Amino acid sequence: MPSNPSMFKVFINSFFMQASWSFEKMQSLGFVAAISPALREIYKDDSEGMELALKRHLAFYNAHPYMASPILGAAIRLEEMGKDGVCPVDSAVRLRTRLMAPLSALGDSFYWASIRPFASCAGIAAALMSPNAWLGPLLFLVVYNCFHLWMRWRGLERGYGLGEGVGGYVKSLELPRTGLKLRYAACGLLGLVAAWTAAVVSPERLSDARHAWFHGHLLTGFILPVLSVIAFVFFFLVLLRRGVSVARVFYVIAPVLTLLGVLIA
Amino acid sequence: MNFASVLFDGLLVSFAAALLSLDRTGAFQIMASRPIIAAPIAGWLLGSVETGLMAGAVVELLFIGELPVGKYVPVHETGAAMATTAIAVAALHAGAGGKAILSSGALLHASVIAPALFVALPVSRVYYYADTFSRKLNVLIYHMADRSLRTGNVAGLMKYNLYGLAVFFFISLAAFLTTIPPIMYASSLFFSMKWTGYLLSWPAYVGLMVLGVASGIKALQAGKGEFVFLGSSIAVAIIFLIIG
Repeated sequence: MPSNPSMFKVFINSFFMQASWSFEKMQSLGFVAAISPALREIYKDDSEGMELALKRHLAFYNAHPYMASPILGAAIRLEEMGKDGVCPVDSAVRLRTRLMAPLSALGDSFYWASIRPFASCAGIAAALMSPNAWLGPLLFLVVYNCFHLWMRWRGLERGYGLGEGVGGYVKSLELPRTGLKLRYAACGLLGLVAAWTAAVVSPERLSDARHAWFHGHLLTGFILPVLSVIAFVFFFLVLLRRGVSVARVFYVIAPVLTLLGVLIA
Repeated sequence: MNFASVLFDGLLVSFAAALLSLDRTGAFQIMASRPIIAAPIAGWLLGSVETGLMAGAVVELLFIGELPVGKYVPVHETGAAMATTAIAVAALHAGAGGKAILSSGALLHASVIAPALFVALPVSRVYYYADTFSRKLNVLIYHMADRSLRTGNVAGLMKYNLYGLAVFFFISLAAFLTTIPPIMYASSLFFSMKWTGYLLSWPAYVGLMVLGVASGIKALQAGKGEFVFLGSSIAVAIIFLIIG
């Protein structure tokens, strides 16, 4: 196995996987730059082999950036095995080409579409609810990066350990199932945000932002604000699902609500 | 609010924006580029964290569905969030159209955000184009690295990779420097006029928050997520009523 310092350099380099992203070559240069410390060690007494390996890995590559880690680990293992003659030398490149699409799909739907929105909603809810609003952004960073950094580190480790079997390992993590649970949880958190909005939707309360819960007459002070907020959420949801863009809705409601604000004042 | 101090603030925010934008694609991707982090940072640099936090929350929700999948380059949420905060704080420092005399606190901060976003959103197209342009330029770096490999130079691959980062940084920096200081200055001039207070109202912020929630539910695409939302909002509202 490549030494710990080399593997650590690969780990660090993986954070720059997209530094030179382009439409035509995408992460190709990023991948070869990331794997080069390990290749340097594997081919340390074979400079021709090293050059060939680098050229091999310069082939087209693009996947979800965090999923690069299991693929890197597996590629390093296969390069070692290729050098020892246990498998063909291009096994690593063929494996990564094979895994690019499926691992990307898993990564996109788990990280971008599930964990990131979930962490955002958690952060926003925390910012609204806690006395120190900056705890919200902090919570967002912590929640998100636990999932993120775990994959980068463990993925690299397991990728090296399993080689060809890394695809099966990622599949066994059942990311889509966890992702769906996180998305439902995020919907719940958005319910909290909506309830908070309803609780503060009046001038006196907004000026006393954080701890202004419902008070006053039950109908006008509670039922009406809550139902109106929920109704508008659903109204906007229908519009957005019909294909109206968020920006367009905003540009229509902003002047209307500004006028409303002027009339109220 | 003099020209020099607005210019200085604008330069500061521009540099911070260019740095944070690297986190979107080029490096780390720990999501420090998200509005919920970037807007408060801009707010902190300009002396009003609260405005940044409030702007960050709504912009985060509005763009929660913009995913960087495959070739798709999303809306530049970092730029939009930081530009919104910059315009909003500049407006506040200029007296917010006379409203700063009448009210203060969250109410005031809330009221500047919707107009700020109104302007920041089209401006953020510039950042989108800067990002796209950087990605087009980066293919040249790939070819440089490829050529150097062909001549047997195997040492500098990471160096070439990092050139890409420099491309992202300097092009986005140029985009921010040419937009943020001018719009901040325009904002401080505009909102120093007393009648502009009429353009500031907190209902627009509430509307943004509600729209953001809807945008979030749509983006989450979780089966019957809207029912989970419904149940949760009613349950939490009842809890707020009881403890309030």
